[in-house]
Amino acid sequence: MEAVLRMPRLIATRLRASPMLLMLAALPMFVILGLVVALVWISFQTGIVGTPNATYTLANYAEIFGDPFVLKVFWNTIIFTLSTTFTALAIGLPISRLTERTRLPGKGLVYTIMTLGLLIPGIYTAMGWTFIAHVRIGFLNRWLMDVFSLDQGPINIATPVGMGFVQGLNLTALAFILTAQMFRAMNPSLEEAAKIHGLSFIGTLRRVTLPLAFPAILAAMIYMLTIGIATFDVPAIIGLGNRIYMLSTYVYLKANPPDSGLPQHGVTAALGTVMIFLALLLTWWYGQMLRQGHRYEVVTGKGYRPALIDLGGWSVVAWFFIALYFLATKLIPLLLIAYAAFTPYLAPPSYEMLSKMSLAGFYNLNWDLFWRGLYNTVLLVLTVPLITLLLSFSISWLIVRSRSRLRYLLEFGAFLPHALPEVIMAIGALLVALFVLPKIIPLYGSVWLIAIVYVISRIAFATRALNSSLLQIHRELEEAAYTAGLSPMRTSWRILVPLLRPTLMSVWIWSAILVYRELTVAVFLISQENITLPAVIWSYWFSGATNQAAAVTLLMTAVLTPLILIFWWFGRRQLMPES
Amino acid sequence: MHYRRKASAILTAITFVAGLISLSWVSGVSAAEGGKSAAIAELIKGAKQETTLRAQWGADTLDGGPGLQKIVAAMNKKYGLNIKPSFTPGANMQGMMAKITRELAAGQPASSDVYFGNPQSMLQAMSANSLKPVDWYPLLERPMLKEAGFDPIVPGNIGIAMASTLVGAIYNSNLVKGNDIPHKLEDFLNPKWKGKIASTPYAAGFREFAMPELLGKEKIVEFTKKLSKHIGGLIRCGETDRLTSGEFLMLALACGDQEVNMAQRQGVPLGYAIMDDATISHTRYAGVPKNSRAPNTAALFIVFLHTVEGQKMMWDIDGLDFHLYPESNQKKKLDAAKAKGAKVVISSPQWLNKNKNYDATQKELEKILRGEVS
Repeated sequence: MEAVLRMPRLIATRLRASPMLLMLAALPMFVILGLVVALVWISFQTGIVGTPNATYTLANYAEIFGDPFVLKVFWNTIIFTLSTTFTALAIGLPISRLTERTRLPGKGLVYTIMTLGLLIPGIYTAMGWTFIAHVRIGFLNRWLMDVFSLDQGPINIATPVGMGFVQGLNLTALAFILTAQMFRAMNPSLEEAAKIHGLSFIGTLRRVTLPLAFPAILAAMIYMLTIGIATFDVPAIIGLGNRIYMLSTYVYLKANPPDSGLPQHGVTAALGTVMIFLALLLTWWYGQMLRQGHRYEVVTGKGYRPALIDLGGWSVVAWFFIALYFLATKLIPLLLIAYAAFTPYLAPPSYEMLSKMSLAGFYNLNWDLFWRGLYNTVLLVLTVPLITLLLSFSISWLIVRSRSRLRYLLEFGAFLPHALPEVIMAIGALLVALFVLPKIIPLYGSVWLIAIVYVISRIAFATRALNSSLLQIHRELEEAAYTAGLSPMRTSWRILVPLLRPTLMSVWIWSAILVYRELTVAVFLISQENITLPAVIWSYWFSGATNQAAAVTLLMTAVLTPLILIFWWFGRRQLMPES
Repeated sequence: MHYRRKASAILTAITFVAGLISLSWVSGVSAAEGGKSAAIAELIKGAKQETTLRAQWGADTLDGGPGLQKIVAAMNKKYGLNIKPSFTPGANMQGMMAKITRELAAGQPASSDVYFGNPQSMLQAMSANSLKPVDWYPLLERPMLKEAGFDPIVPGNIGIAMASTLVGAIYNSNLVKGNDIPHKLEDFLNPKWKGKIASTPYAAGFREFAMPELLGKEKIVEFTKKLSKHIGGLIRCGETDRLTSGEFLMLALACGDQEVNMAQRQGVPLGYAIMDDATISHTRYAGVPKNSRAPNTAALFIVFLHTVEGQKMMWDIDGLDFHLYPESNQKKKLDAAKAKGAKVVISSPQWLNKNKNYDATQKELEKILRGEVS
């Protein structure tokens, strides 16, 4: 009896976070803070940062605010980012709705298509689209020129809009995953009511579905806008050669001047500092959107099952749309990779080129480098998602369960890395590892330095997903476990982890895939010991060895596809709605 | 008789003096050889304590990893070593120099035990004091030819030239043929190339042409402004796939002819044209970072590249060799240009130091080419 009377206090005590949880949540915050401080410090320097040759100055800020070219770069980035987000949503939203809300036959295959797409590095989608829509060599342009007797190809992929379209195709899978959850949870009763009242499919979509989905779409849009700003591979492949510069490629050129001078990390950091303010703005907006989300809540409680729509003959149209997307973003780039891997040099496909196909690209590979890259990539794929989940779970638990005002700070801290370009984080981490940490933790040149940046940059994605899922689990379950005498750790393990398993699996898979193909951070942090496979591909491509880059990509895809499919098979069983 | 004796005495004296001279010359030579052997022996002794040669440079330099493996294998055989090569692709020459300097300042070992650079990065190394001074001449197996106004050793002995490559235009030989092949800078402005040719983002070649002893800044700035409106884009020197694919028909100007030397051997449809306006030879240098983990092996590696075998390997692997060696293929091209009466410039850190406005001119040309200024 006495024990029962003491229970509320006991529960209150236990609901306070354990020191371990606090420590795990605080750790990434310190790293993020360290990176931001390093960034600001670097932004006031010129010369080789961290050496006696460096001098303190405001010139970096003067350069970025005073140079009209930088304004042009900003403008290009805005157009590119909007085009990216529009394309990704315009394709991703219909596919996610088709998959989650209809009885589309073979929808398991859609999940596979969307996942496999992420295995193909953006470099190759960009190269594939160069062959499709380049103003001179793109076969689509050549065909249009022949048909309409034009002097020049009418489509130009080498514009901010064109590059945004290509990057949008790359991000469609992400748009799909970000909006699938929303469609899965949406109560169809309002749509059904609209149908009963005679609204057409388009009318229902415009007046019911889209307004209901608006907060989630807007949140996904903001999320993708931040990705668009930092995108590197497509602007690097298509834009650099055609003199269309985005923020990411401008930063890259400043950090890696092609031939005439020292890396200008100061300018890079000054841009990064400006982008932190943009991140603050976006984070605030994102927060507002999430807070207003409850106005649109139409999900019922227990026993809720969304009804699925029968597509009938429209299934064919739906599959044609998905197949077109698959062709443009997966099949053509993959075929191009295979073609490039087996040909001695890059030239438009022809009978002559096909007769020159050989395994030389594979024979000439630096296999020692390949194995080193594979080892490090596998190590990162195995560890980063796990650490990300552990830290994100701690942060999300505190954000969702805590009543402290500090939770807002945690929420901001967790979202901030997403808005920071990875180039900036990589340079910050590099300099911290070189000049601040070497005597405490020798991270410079190790794979763990890359792992730390990866973990930090994935926390935003993981905490977004875990926050939503944790909100759906009533705290009564945890309280019951505490009452039964379980420690906070065991409660998490026995109660929360099983309930969160679909989300945890989903975050794990997506983190693993994103880590597997990540390039930007790796390019800045590579050394003898920590090179990753995407960095190997980039270095081959960057030095003009396109066929060897393609050979490594092909090997990389072949090695990891079965693993990804296994991951996805397990994950899909948890994620797919019952039909 | 008297004369005969006198002649005999003179002959004996001459023979004696000649004998003395030749003896002293031989002993001098063998002393020098001995010095060389001692210096090399010292390096070999040091290299035996070092197990690995870590190398980081552009994947296209010396054919990256496979090239390094071949050279180290030959070096191991020649000097009786068992060094394991380990290659990681890295940034461009300036980027690698900045990296090594930063690592030195932080007390970290260098990412690359050997450093390969161009005249600009060697100038950077001179001011950053990041490469180890080495007395190169006693280590070399054979003497180099002399070239007026060009010293292959970087001031302070921090590096040594090891290869030369000639500036020109790379073109797709399936699409640019006969009279269309450019011979003068003005040829690039032919209206038929409008939007179809590329240049480099770092104004390769033009930065040298802009120096007073060649075409001068004013002329080249004006030319570059026209070229900037004429080109379809900017690509790096190694991106020859963008020429073979037909995306661009020509690269004006390229950093050197090594890619084409290699491509032509493999039947890749690329051609190379050296400009009649002037001939510029870009020099490639090597040095040992002060924070190298294998300084002896690194120095030995560089010395090996100067041997007949080393030079041949460089030519076979990377299409490069050094014009100060008699058998050099680049020497033949340079001699042919000289024979045609072309003005020849050998780019070096000393030459850059002499042309104080080189850096500023390059930056100005880069901005014009990138479209930052019209």
